[in-house]
Amino acid sequence: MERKKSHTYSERALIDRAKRNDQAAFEELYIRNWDRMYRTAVRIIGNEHDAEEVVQNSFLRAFESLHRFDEKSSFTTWCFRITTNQCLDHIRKSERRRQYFESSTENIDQMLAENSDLSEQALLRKDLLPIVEYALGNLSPKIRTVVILKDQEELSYGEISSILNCPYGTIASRLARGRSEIAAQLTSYGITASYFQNL
Amino acid sequence: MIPNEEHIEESRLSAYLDSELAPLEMRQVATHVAACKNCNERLSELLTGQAAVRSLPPSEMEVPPWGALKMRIDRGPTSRPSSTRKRFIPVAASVMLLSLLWVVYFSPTDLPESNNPNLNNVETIALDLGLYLQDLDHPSTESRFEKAYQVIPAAYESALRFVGIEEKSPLELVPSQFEVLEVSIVEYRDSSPAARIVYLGPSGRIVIFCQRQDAITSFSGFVADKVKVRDTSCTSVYCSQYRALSFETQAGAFTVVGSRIGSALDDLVNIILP
Repeated sequence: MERKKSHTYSERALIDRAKRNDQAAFEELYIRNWDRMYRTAVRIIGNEHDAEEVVQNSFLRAFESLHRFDEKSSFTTWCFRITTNQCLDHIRKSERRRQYFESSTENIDQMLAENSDLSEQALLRKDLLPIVEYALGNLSPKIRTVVILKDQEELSYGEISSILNCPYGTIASRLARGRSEIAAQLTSYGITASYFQNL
Repeated sequence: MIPNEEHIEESRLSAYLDSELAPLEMRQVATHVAACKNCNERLSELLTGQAAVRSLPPSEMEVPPWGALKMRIDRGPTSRPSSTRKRFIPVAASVMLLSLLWVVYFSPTDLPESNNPNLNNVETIALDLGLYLQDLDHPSTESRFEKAYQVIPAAYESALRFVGIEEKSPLELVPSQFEVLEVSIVEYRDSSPAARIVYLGPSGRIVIFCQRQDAITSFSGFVADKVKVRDTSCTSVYCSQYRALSFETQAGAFTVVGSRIGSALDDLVNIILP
């Protein structure tokens, strides 16, 4: 079912209507924000099925608590707050929290064994993907969340600080630690920043 | 000014990478990094980490039908945690088994034949229901089949044992704790009639549709005889398919189309459950 985004109404107008229990308005907000919430959840949780469930739960929670949304931040930021909370909650409770995608050292070792030429030209994006996912999956969920919000969603430190309700300094240190840990793991496979320049 | 002998904290280097420092501090870090090999190398590391995450392709998925969320919204506020679902999977499976058996009873001739019709029927229905159960719960087609088989085995095994032994009347299969709330005759889009039976089971509300006229008559007869019906109504169901099951449990709301054509699913999700 193809769903087209309609931006006829401003976010403010939609929120006003949604707060008056106008479900069509909330549906529009849901359609506009689904993509970002979903891709964020997938990267935090590392499982597409669980991510979809978590995002659906997040939108349900958003609708139920819309009356408490004070509009000091954008609706998207508020949704990010609910979604990341739900993701972290899910990881805490999930027995499968160790399964981050299908990444494993065995898979990576096998891939590298099949690619004897590790030159930058030889390794393509698809080859690097499992390695990066593996490295991302090894981060603690809180650090991973900050990394995703910054390096995937390109949010500012201020926005991430608001979403996670953490001081600016905590965001900065978690981000630095996450990037550093990912780099260390990639370096152990002989992969450096130059590999990503032409992707 | 940053003294040359002092290295810059990693968090500041990372913030520098993101242009999150004040203009003066940005210039100071730039000057220092240009002259300090250690900080320059650490900045390169951070750049590698940043570039790696940025290289990941975005996970994309079609926005799930609004109807599935609307159904949950309409059900009213819930403080139930998301993980509750897992605890009720066995209950959901038993509900699904019940539904399976209803279909086996009502529509044996609608299903493909084989040398072992019972086996074929159950297997077909189990897969069919499993697929659609997962279809609503998990629209990703990539893992539908795999997930269906994960959910189905218990129900499948039980159903197999049942049909392998003897046939029983549908009422015998309904545990005593299932209360019939409503029986109604509904019309599909093609004007064919169906019985709509609403149960209240221990796991929540279950709605079952049966299309065959003889099944409707038969069912209405013994329901009228043996159970108290709270309400009856006539509803049009905008579903072009011939048979559908829909049930709602504490584990979530499931709508299952008992045909092999999935296009009816969206219609049902959006319309059937109030």
